[in-house]
Amino acid sequence: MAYETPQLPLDLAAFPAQVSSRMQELARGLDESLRAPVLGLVDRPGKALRALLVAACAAPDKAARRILVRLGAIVELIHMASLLHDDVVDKAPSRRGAPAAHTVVGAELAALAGLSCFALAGMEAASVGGGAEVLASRASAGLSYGQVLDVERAFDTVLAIDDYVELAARKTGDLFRLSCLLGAAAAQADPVTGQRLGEFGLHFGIAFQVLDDCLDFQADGTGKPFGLDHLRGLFGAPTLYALRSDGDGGLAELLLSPGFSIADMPLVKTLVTKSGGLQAARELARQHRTLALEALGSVQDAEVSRRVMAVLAFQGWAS
Amino acid sequence: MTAPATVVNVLIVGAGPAGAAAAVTAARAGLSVLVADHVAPPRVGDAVVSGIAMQRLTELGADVAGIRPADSVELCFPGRSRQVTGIGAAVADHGAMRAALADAAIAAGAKLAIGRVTLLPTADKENNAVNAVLNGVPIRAAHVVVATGAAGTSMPTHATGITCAQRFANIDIANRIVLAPLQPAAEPGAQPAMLAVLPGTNGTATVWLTRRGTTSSAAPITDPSRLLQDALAMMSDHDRRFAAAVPIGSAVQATVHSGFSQDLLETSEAFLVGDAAGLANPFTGEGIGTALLSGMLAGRAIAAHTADAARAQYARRLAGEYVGYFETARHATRRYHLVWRTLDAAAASDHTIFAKARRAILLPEEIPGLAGDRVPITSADRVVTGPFLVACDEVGVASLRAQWPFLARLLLSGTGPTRHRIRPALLFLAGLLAEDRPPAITRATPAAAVELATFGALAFLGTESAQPQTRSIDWAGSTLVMAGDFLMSRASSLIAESTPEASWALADWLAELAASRAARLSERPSRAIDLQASLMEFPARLGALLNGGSADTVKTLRTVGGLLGEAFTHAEDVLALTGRRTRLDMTLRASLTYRSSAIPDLTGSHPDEATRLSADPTFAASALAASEHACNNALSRVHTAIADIPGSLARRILTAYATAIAPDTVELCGTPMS
Repeated sequence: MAYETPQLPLDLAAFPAQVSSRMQELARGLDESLRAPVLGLVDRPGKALRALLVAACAAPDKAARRILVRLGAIVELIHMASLLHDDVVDKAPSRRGAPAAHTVVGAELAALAGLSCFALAGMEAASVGGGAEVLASRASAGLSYGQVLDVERAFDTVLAIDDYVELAARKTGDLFRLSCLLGAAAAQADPVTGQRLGEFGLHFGIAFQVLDDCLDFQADGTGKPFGLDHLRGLFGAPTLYALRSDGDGGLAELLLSPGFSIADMPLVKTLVTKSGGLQAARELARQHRTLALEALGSVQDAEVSRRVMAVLAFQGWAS
Repeated sequence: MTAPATVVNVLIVGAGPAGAAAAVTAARAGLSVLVADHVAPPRVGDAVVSGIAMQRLTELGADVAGIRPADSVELCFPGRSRQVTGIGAAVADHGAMRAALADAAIAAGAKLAIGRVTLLPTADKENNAVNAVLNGVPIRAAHVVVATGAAGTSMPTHATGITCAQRFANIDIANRIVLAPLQPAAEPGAQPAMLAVLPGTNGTATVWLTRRGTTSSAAPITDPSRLLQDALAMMSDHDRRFAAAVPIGSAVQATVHSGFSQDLLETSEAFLVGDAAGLANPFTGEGIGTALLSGMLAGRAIAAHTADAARAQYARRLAGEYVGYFETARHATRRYHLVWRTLDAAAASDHTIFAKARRAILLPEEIPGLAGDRVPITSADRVVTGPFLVACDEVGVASLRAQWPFLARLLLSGTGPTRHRIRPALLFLAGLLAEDRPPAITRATPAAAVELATFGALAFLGTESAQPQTRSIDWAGSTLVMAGDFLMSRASSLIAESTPEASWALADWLAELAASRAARLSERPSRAIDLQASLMEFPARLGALLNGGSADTVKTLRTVGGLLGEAFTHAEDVLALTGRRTRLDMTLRASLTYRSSAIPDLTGSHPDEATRLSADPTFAASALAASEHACNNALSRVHTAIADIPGSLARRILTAYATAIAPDTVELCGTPMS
């Protein structure tokens, strides 16, 4: 691809800050014990990839800025709700470089803070109207189902790749799809364009999740607690592939052994890499990335796909 | 010998509980019924008859010899035993029950025959008849009911289990049913199994062991007697009641089918009932109550409709009353393990969701709602309320069953035959009717959404934060959060798609619930009544808004709903203080710990001090007096406010609702789990 300089068009570059400020406005009305955990996440916004995709998918000059900012806030709030709840479920110690909310305010308030984010997103979607409430609530339903699929497969060493992809599609893909659908709807894109952008979002999300799993097996420095998922029986795509060619069952035995610990991860890493699991997972990610880019390439408005590619390049994704 | 063809309306293959129930129902409707069975009744000992199964046996006119009440269940999870009383169940000899049902079928006019039935493929489409042969005699029947148990159908492996049973001497468990999971389900790769011990006479007991089939389908257990004795030996390590058990007679085993789905019934040529329809509980193997239900529904459908229409009607009715455990086939195994792990991890939890889940999943199925849970609406008014509530259940269950059938089961459990319980949908309906305008039946969808969200809100009421083992997940805490999210997002979707104009109000309400709960958890002044007030105010208000209610009417509905929630909160405390089962299935201690009790507010004590309640009778008496007074006070204000509502039916519904909330309608029979 020919986008060497990862730089965003000006309107996009300013977008995340506008979304954050809208979220701050919304969070102001929360009960005081819920405001702190919510604002904590608003003030540490991460890469705002989901919000940026909303703005990128809306053809410039076809959507009111004010509306796009509110749609961006909807997507980021749903994302924050899922982060707060995921951390309660995972007992994750940190989030976005700070202690996770549940370690500060306790599990119940952190869960209620997540519920508040979901409620704020719902109010914002209903105020914007025009079907945003339908799209947002459907995506939330997908996300929450993805959470169930993710947890219930714990210690399943024979999880089919199809089932894994379904999990990734719900847990990660549905929210990226929502970004794209909302952006397209705001710009009054025709239904075909909306559908293609939605497809892009879904496949991009699946690829995103699979590559996230691969991070565990790459040189570190990602900041993600290494091996925690394996400890909790949640095996990502590389490990699942490796388990399929686990002839003598040695890997499965290791992963299921009660004494398994972080200290065993180097061995897992070796086994998974040696059996081609990591490579197969990368291939799966590549397939979905290709599907995503094909869908994006079929969008009529070249300006929209150019903007989306710029966002991906900016995030280190388009090379 | 040659015989002329016997012509009957209904041929029933299998004379077990489901077949006999179908026979009684169809014969009573004036149809000619022939029941054929070649299986000698299995002499396995006793089986559990749930409270609602007892009602059904009575309705069918079956007088079971030697049936004896077993009013409580002891759940023995590792490290935590709890007793659930007031379940109204019984234990009966399986053979005696079959005999009683057979007598009832004969009394109703059905004919019984011993022999093997062969169904012939040459269906007589023209006359809507099926041809069969019984003992060499050709039979022609308009309807065929397959009630042959697990042998009658084939089920996918994930929905198949196996159960074995044997009678033992020297086990004294009084008149309690003991349920004990055998393996730590949380361990990776665990194969969970459930042991059920049913009290017999003279110190005997029937011991059942149920588990899902292994990968090679439900392969028979090689030595069931050995397996049962080993299981009892394992139990006796920490429970001496099972230490001296001696087996009597031989062990038997049977396949357990739990693969019910509406689709299974619709694609079958015959009426599948009982185990043939996959109605057994995969955790306990139990299923007599649902077997009877399926037979009765099949009999009724046959009496009311012609061939194909009858089968479709039967499938629809049964799917409306029953949710299969494995309707999400692709995820069945993993979901089954999730339930086991969660039940195991939450064994010590008194959270309302887990208290209800334990009842819905492990206890004899379909516990009838408490008497005090029922809203006394007259049969004339039920012409309006009944169909609305049925539609509401259909929408709610349909939105959950494909992805999380266990939650759908929880939604239906306790619904019983009336559906007129203390529930948000009735408040919503009263709101719709507040100005006497008839509501559209499509309004059942937002009503169902509000019920799902209320259910979701209960999941967020208190968390479990047990530190899991290093290699595990906090199953209990995770399940609460996941169920809460799932229910909330389903509710939002239903509203957005059916009633977008209510989307903002729903989201605003969810924010209010979170805020109310957060305030309650803080050290700031807060009121316990706010949460329930909000939960009951919203459905009433939304109903009024959606049917064009004036500002005054909406305001009145808000007031009424809020006061009902206030009364409900105090009624919960009164029930808990007097040792009765609460509507949220929470013990006094639990409702204090979760800060949902209003006792600290009324007595000016800190929630943590309330442990004094059990030690200090004077304090307990004053707490009770204060709770009763506050409850009555709220109820009397409700009645005043109701008088301002223009719609007479709305007034009657809300008056009945207030009556049902009053704690004095709850009998002293059921106590919460201790």
